[in-house]
Amino acid sequence: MTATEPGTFDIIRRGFEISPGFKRAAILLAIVGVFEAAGRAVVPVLFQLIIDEGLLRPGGISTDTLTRLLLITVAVILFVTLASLIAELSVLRVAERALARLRVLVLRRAIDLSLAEHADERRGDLVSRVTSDVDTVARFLDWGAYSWIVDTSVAIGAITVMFFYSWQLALVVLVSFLFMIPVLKVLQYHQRRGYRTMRSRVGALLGEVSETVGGAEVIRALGHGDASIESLDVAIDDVYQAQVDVNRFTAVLFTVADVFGTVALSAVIVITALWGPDWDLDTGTVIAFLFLVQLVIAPISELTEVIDQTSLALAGWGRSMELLDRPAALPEPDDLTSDSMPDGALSIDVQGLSFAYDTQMVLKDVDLHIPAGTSVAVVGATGSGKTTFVRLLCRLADPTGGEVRLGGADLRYVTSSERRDRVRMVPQDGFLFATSVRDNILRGRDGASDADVEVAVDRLGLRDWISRLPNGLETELGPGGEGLSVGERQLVALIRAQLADPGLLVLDEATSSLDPVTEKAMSDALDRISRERTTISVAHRLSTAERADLIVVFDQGHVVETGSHIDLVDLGGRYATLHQAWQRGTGSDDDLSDQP
Amino acid sequence: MSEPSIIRRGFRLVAGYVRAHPGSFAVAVTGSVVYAAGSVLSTVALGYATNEAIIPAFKGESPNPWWAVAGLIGVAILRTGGVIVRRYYAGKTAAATRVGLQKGVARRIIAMPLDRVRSRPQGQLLSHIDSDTESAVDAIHPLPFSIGVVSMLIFGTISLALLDIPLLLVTIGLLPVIGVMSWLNATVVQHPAAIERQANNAVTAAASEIIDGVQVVKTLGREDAETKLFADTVEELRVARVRLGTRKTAFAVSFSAVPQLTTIVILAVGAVRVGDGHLDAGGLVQAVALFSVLAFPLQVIGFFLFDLPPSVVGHDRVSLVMSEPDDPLLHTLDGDSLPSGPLSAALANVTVGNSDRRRLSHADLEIRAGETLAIVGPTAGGKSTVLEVLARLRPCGDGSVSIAGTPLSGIDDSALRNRLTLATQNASLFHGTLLDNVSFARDVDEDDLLAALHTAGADDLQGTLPEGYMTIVGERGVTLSGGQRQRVALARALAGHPGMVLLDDATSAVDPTLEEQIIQRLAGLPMTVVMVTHRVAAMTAADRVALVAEGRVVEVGHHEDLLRNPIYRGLVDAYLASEVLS
Repeated sequence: MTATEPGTFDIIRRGFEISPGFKRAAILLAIVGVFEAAGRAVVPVLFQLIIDEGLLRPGGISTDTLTRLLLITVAVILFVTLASLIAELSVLRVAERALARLRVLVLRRAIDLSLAEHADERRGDLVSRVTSDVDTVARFLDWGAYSWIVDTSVAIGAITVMFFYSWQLALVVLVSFLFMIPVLKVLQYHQRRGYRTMRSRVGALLGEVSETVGGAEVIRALGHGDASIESLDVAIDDVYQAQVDVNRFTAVLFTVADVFGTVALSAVIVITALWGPDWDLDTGTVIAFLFLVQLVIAPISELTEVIDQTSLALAGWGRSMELLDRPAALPEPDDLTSDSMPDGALSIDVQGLSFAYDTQMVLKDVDLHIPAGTSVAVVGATGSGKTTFVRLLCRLADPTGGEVRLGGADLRYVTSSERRDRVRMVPQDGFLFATSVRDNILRGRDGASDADVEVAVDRLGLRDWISRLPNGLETELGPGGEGLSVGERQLVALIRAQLADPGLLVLDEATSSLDPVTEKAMSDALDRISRERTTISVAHRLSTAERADLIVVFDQGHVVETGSHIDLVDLGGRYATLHQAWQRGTGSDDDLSDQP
Repeated sequence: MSEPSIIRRGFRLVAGYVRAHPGSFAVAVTGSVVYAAGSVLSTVALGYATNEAIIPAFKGESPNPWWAVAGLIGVAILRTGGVIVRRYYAGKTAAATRVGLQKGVARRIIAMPLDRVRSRPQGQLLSHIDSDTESAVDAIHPLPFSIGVVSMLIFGTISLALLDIPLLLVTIGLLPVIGVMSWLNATVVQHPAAIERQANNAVTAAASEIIDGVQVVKTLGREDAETKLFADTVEELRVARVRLGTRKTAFAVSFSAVPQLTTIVILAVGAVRVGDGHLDAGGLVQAVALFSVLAFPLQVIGFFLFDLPPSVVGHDRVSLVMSEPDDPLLHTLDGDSLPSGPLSAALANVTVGNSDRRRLSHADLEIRAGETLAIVGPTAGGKSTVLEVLARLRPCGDGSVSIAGTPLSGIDDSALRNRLTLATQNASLFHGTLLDNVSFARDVDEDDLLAALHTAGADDLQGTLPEGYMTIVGERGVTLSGGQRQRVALARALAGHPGMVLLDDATSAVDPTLEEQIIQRLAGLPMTVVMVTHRVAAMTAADRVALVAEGRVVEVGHHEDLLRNPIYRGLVDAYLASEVLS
């Protein structure tokens, strides 16, 4: 990320580099602009010709001349219309293809970013870069882009025609419009400030509503309803006030071009009346000027309408592209350097393993050997490095120092397809896709069949559990797995992992307490899934730690203890302290000894 | 086709808006009419300028440009003033209408049955109050201009009639063409526009899902597969946008050609009339200018028709909330009051929920004044429902609930809320200071607040938070940990000497040692405490424990005695095993 905001031209240059389609579309639009300018300038020019061909002389213009002029003009308009239609339709196709490509590019890079970028607090930002930021570009393409390029071309075209007729009058018009720029700037500054206030007040209102909805129960239970309505009303009135305030500037802004256009017109008329003949002007020219000035007013009025939208779009475009500048997390090995893992359960060898998020070291020089087939519980306080450790085992990131070997193969040199078949992770929140339970499981292995799903369910002994779901395997889930508790989602994720039959399974236990039914199903399934493979659990429950062959205790990025539950309790170190804290909190030794 | 009916509904909707804010809307329409008059007069001024200033200048006569310029500037003031007034008041009307809708939604959220609030994702209510109310009033913006256009047509016709009758006939013949085209434009893009909005929502949903589940996508190696699925969704959006864009472009381009060709016809007819001596050059200038003034507003009617359907859809969505009924449980005015001191309570034959989801069935429970009662049971067994029924947050079905011998349904709402309070696991705090959250807009003196904070084990926050009790807390901008929030929420429930406090796992995130101290302090206060808990220590400390399972109160008694019950024993074992380690 750069410290300074990129300027408008930087964004456009970079945008054209990433999406050459937008550049082509812009060039095509400029051509449309030339056509449009020509098409609109044709009426004032015709007017001038009709007058100068003798309209005002006694007897008027000859019918032949008039017909000839009219036919030429109509032909020009028809040609220009057809040409700009064709050009605009190709602009549409080119730009939309570029926009679609940009959406996919940005999303793909968001997927490929390192997990540090996917930390919870950054997720909202990431989603908005992929969706609403690109949407501002889309809205700009609908309207703003056309206005900028075509309206500018028309205004420039009209002024060019003016210079062709009379450079003196053209200069007068140009100077009149130049005075408009500072006025526009001031109004626009106030408008932008007003919008900023409005956005922040809308944010405050939404915050208030979400508090009210989230706290609906407490509001009722403590009789706070009237007070809540009062403060919601204040937030709503604040938004209203901000909107009405910003409206003042928006209303005035639109008329600025008209006001300065009138100044230009008045100047033209006065100058013509006072010095017209001396300046070699004639009637036709001046009348053409009256209409050409109108041609400058309309595009500028339109531009004042899109200024705000434009700055939003530029910001959105910049933000989505900034994502593309962040490096993808993991380079893939090529054929020459790739390494392969053995079949069956995988051993784990970790040497000098370090990892830093930005500048913060979370793992420091960890060495560890875990034989194939071991079931391991990883224990430690929040921030001890345990979660990062298991993520590195799945190559969700590469270590900043040292190496991870699974079954002897350096993980960095294992192809992604092999890694995905052999190493599986069940994440803490048990994220599931918004589809049926069955489809979620099927995504565990390419080409898996319904029969494979049944086998996996049976191998984990979850047939009964599945039948308790509202619609069994066909139960449809909401976004993220809504409809199931976190523990239930993890069970589905566990079946999905079983389907792949990996050599290493990594489980990040849920921190919230499970209901007894899920707890029972989970511990049975874990027992079964850990029989034929190496399993690593980030343990939040004592029962999980007790059940493991080996406990690895992390503290401040170091492995401080390894051993079985009994060994570590006897050792009286970090694990024994954790264990004691647990006992103090929940009951006596007698309760504990009753545990199976 | 359903379009005509949605347009008709749109008209009715907008008419309702206008009736609600007739004043500012009338001002906006007036602005629009003034603009219309100004626009037509400005063409007259141009014609005058041509005849009185420009042509004389080249005939060697002495021209007088000052009247022409004064006229031009005068009508420009009229015109821009009209625009400013119209845009400002149209915006004000829309904003005021939106305020009405938003306040309506806010009141519904407070007054509708709690179940109905919970049945909606929070994001849905947020978009009802934000984007839906916005689009519901969008059609107001172009309306005053659309109405003003009618007056513009009248002024224009009068002006042309004074100028030259044949030119008037030509113009009147051609204007409807533009009107029809603008109406066609609005109807032809309606359907593709709706499809485009849908496709856009699908893309947003797909992108958020993939990013939320990125860890799974990565560990399953589904990067390519998910990108492909996303690309398919994007492709649908692209096709929809190209279809919509093609129609819009075709119309826009024709729109720019038709007035121009029409202007040429006017020029041709006008040139002949000037040659015949029926019209002067200024008149022709005026006619051409007039036509260009009239052509644009006719398109505005199209804008209005185009904005109408999304407004109807937005308003329909807002109506989903507005049509929610009042919560019948909130309607108790002039009811019974409650005695001071600890309160007793009784549930008799209480049934909650329908046959799909039975939360309580024929539950009976006696709660003694001043005791600490722990409620224990498996997930979804009905524990929280017992508390909700006691707090009158849910109806009690056929059974009856009484507090201190008084039927719950007859107790005055403010008496109940003062004497019986609730704190839950998710400890919702609101923006404002910590102390504001504890007093919670109730009439509680400061000593009581401090005492409540002390009982809830929250008095350390005075020293540890940057501004002590005056620190701003809330859903956003939070500085409090889960355990701290729970302690503040508990203090809120304890403030003001309630006779009964209901705690739904309200100390689950509090440090176990502190939690034990809090429970001891609660036992020493003159109030009844009913607590749903998963902590074995809390069960041990309670006067009595009620085991609630499958919607019934299975057994009530002391912890030691209940251990003989196999369900209770199993639960206690499971809780011990699953207690969080770190």
